[in-house]
Amino acid sequence: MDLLKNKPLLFKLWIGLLGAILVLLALNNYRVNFSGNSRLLPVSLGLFTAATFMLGIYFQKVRVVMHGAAFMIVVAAAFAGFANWLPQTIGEPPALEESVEDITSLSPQELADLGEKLTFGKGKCSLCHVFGSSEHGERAPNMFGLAARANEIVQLDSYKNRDTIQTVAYDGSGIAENAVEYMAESHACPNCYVSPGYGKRGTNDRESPMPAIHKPPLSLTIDEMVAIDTWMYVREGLDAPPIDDMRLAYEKFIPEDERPQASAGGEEAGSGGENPLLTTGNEPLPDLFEKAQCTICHIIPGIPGADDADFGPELYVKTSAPKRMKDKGYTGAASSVQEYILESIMDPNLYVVPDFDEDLMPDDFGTTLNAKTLFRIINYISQLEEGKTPPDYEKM
Amino acid sequence: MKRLFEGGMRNKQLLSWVAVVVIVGALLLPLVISIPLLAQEFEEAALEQAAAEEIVGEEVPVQQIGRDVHYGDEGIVQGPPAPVTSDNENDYPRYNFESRVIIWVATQQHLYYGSFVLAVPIFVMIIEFIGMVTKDRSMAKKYDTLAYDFIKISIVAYSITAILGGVLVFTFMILYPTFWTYMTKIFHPAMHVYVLLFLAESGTLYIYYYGWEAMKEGLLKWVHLTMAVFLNVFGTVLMMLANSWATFMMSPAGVDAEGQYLGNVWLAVHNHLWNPVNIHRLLGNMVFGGGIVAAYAAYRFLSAKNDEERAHYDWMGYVAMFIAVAFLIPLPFAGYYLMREVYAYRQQMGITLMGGLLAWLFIIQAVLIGALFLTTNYYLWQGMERMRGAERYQKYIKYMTFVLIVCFLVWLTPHTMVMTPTELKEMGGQQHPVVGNYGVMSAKNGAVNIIITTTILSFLLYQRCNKIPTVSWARYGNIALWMLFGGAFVNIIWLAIYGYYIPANVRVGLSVPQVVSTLSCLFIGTAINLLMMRGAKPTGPVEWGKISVRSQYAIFMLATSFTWMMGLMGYIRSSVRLHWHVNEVMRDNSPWAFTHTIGFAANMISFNVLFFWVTLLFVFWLGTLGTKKVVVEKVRVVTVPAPATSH
Amino acid sequence: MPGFIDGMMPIQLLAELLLIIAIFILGAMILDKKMGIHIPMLLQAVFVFIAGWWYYKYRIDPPLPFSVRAIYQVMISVGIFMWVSSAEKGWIEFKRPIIAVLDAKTPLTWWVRAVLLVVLPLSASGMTYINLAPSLSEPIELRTVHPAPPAAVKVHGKKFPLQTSESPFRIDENGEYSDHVQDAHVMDNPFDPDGIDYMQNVKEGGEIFFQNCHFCHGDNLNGRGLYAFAFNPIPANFTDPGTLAQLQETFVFWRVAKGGPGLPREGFPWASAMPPWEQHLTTEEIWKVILFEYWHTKYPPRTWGEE
Repeated sequence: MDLLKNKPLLFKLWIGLLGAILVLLALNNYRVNFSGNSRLLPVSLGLFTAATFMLGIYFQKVRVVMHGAAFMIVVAAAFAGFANWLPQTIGEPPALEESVEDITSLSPQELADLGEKLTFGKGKCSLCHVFGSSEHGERAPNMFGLAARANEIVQLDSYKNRDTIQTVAYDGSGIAENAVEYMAESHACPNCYVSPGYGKRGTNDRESPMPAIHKPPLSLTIDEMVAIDTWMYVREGLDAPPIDDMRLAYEKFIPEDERPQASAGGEEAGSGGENPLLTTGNEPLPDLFEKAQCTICHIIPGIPGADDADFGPELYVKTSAPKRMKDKGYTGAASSVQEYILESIMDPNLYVVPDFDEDLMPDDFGTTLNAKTLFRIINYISQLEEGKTPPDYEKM
Repeated sequence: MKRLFEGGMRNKQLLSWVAVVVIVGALLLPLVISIPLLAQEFEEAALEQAAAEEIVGEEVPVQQIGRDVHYGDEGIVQGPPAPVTSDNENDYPRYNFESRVIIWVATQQHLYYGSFVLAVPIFVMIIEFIGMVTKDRSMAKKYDTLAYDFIKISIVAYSITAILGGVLVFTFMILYPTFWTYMTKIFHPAMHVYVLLFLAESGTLYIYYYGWEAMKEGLLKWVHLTMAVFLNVFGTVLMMLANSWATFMMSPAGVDAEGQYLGNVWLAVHNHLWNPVNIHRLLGNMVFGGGIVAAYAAYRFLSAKNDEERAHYDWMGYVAMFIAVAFLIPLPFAGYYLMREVYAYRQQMGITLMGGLLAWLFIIQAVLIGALFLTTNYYLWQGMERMRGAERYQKYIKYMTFVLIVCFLVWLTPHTMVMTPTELKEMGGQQHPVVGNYGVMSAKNGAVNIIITTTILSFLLYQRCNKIPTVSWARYGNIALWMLFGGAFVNIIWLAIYGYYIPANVRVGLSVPQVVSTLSCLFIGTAINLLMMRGAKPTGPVEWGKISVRSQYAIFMLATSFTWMMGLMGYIRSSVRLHWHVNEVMRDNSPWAFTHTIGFAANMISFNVLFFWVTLLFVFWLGTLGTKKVVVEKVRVVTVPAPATSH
Repeated sequence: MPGFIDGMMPIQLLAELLLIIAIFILGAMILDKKMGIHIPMLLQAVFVFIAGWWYYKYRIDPPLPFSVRAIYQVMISVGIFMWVSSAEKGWIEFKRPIIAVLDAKTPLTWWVRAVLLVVLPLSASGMTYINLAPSLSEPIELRTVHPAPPAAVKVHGKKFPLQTSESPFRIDENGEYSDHVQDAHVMDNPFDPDGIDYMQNVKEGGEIFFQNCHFCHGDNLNGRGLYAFAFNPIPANFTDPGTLAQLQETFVFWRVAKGGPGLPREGFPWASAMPPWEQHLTTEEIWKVILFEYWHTKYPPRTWGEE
């Protein structure tokens, strides 16, 4: 064979193969150690560089390409190495915001707490506004003392005779006459009145840099804005105006078709849809039973507030289950009390206790209750025996 | 111009002009036709709606009016709202891999090649023009060859750009169909224009390249140059159209708050960040293009077989380097404009960039900037080798190295130090009492200004390397230069120290006088130097080709750093949208809506940079394979004035 | 050798470096030009490298962490490379001994090469071993010293939003909250019975400090109290510009009230022995002791102005 006699060619072939093996090794090392915090990644770098330099030395025609590539690998790797050495953080997308259901049930302090959370969270107000008495708002006015100040602002000539790009929230809305309305107007129509010095640069305070917060992307509902306003009062030790007054104020400045619905925020954020779970599994047992909707129909002995329902049987299961499992109407496969309860929750129609309606119990508890909830429910119920004191739920 | 009046030529010239007009006209024809069509679209939609109403009567819902999220104009809703996606195979089909990373690679590669092929014709045009107006025939020839060399590199890259563009579009359609459909519903007219323009650009480029020899004389040469102008106009408009899609995703306009298209594509194109990005990208492309051509020249220099080739490619590398660095200087100002507009658009976006999640990325940028300056200095020092008489200045290099390195030490001292608990204990706190002071802004501002000023000094020394000033006031000129630079150093250092003793909000203002010191060194210093060098006695010619191999690796270093920086800044621009596909209009609900760690991002950038360069080096290598062994004209090592001083 | 002069340290460091390099260059020049002894470039480079290493390792006190010295040493190496290779003449001179060893044409160079061929791979494998061997030393902690605080903190049943709360005792003569009252009275005598309320509160804060805090945080507030070195890391040094000076007063309030157990997730690992002082002090006492700490260190609390 000519090939075997051609020693230089054979040598080059050998070097080429060696180089290829080195490169493959480097690639494999990179692949294996890519994710995770491995200190072995630089090994790939060494292999790459060695391979390219070696090939560069023995293959004169590609010498410059090889050396250039090796050099660039070292440079790029140095930058990447530096970046990997810095503190690492992942930026998670914001989670779904819980929307307020019924704010009238909240105490002013609770409502203010909610408002505060919204101010620093969903409302993102604190990006621009400051709230401490001695701080200077660089981007937007300081909110300290606003509740008191607003009453004075609405009396100002410059407020009444405004010259902004949008002087009323919408045709016929009119302008604010008191502090509550002023806050509502500022939220719904930031351009209606611009605090001196805080206008968009170059607009001579005729236009505000603030977005209308009831519109996307913030999409605060009227109730959420009411909560924020309440916090404005409560945090300064003032009494917040009645919720209805504040709601009316917002309705004055936001036309009906622009009012965001309570569910809008959730829908828009909607990654993965709503959380279907009724419970977290960590609630105290009475709460757990209530949230899991058991107490609507069943009397659960020993649980406060679960003593007057009559759509389903009273749950003395430890007594009743063995009997029912032997009943000829029973179609399930449970062999213990615990299994029986689980089965009844997952598939209620396997056995319907006489005198109770079929198809009354929902059959989706298997997807709306998590394992911890199920475990705790079963654990408790399976110990209930007719004629005996129920176990102490506080210990379970 | 004499030839113009020779009868024989006249007809031929006339014919060629007509031919060019016809060709360009034909290329533009589809475009011209499509523009009125676009205008009609709005009316048609309205008409259709009206017609539909007539037919079906009351059942058709009333025309919905939407308000533009950015411009506030009202318009008839003509598109569906931005789709609300969820994490499933319909909205986000996927391989067993992060789709975003695939898009990342595809986009970045397309951008790299795209920037390169857009930038090169711009300086080809300029160099061709310089060649045409240069009186010295040998110089003119040299410039012309240079321009031709440049365009030759970009022609292969051009087809790669097109292929990558195709790859990118398909990747979008396959991996992000819902998002892509939404984008096409808004931008379909612009996308058609884009395709047609692309055709027009290809046609012009091919005529321009292949007609170089045929159109090298007299009036035809001017026709040829006109083609270059067309080529660049097409290219720039192409880039601006593509930019509009990217900036629409950052700062949407032309749609209402639900993302419904309002029928005016111009508003969607002309969104808030469009122009700032256009300017920034145009300048960035020039820097990048210069870097690549310089790297090509370095590659050819290193693989050159004889002195003539070496001389030519040394010179080419120098010119390209000069272009790159010259455009690098205004780039931060364009960046500042972009950043200001980002703040004007959404403060939250600006804060995320500069003080929030992405702030660490700017630390890496700091390292890159430092590397660029060190390398630029090094290249200039190496360039002194090719001039006799440089020994006078070479002895200052060690001092300048010292200043640069010390400043770099300050520039790189981290604010938060990485240390073991034992070290923490020994240090007695997270802050180091001595070195910790370098971790703050005041010191860093001072350091970077001194780095830049020193670079300017290197450049001035380079300029006067092979000349001895003969003007009568040379002595005073030197004193003035000494005082200028000395004053600048003292001013910058003093302000840096003073910055420690005043509150942060006042300190921000100090950077202005520091930058003024630096810039006055640049402008006044260069001006004095140029005046002094008038009629200076040369100590010897610039011996092109007599430069070290190391200098060429410095060029590789610069080119790699530019590429890396471009990848980094592009990543920052893109990731500032956080969890939005289209900012505040269409949310990213894929599993990859999070922002990666900087380490991961840097690994990706490095991968992209290396992938790009490895393919490009391969292209370079192909280029050397294809070249016929041209007998290089036996030119003596010509005396060429350093372009730095000549234009 | 004199230490670093307080207040001038960063500049002193730069000046010392300048001096060292000036002596080095001048010395080399005198040796070369006047005495005819030329020190080889390689030797000079090695000298600069070692001098830099020595300076940052032994001259600077307290010692620098390895990571910072690594950055510095890489930069010094880059600088040395730029210097020796800036002109062809120097570069050739620099390379000559290296190439001579590689070529090994004399017995001496042959031996040097032979030894290097054995020593270099050995030391490379040794370094790899040391680097990868499981070590018993504590791992590097990228510990967030000042973790992100909660939005509000509840102390003794009252809620304090950290963004908006203010010290009730940082008040001027008119009883108004003031950012400047500390500056105005920083030199006052806290034991002056006629001092303004602010100074009275500072004095009371001082009493609380010396009854509760100084055992760990030290009587100079420098984190080197009696018990300080029983802890790892040692207690916070308030005189360090990286602690009190860069924190809001409410942040300190939160940390004092909730102590180490109150650190959030980002503060992992929770290496803090600080007790939750709300169990021992009243809200007023906490505010007062913080007032004292700021007054004593002369740092103003951070406010959210422009950075």
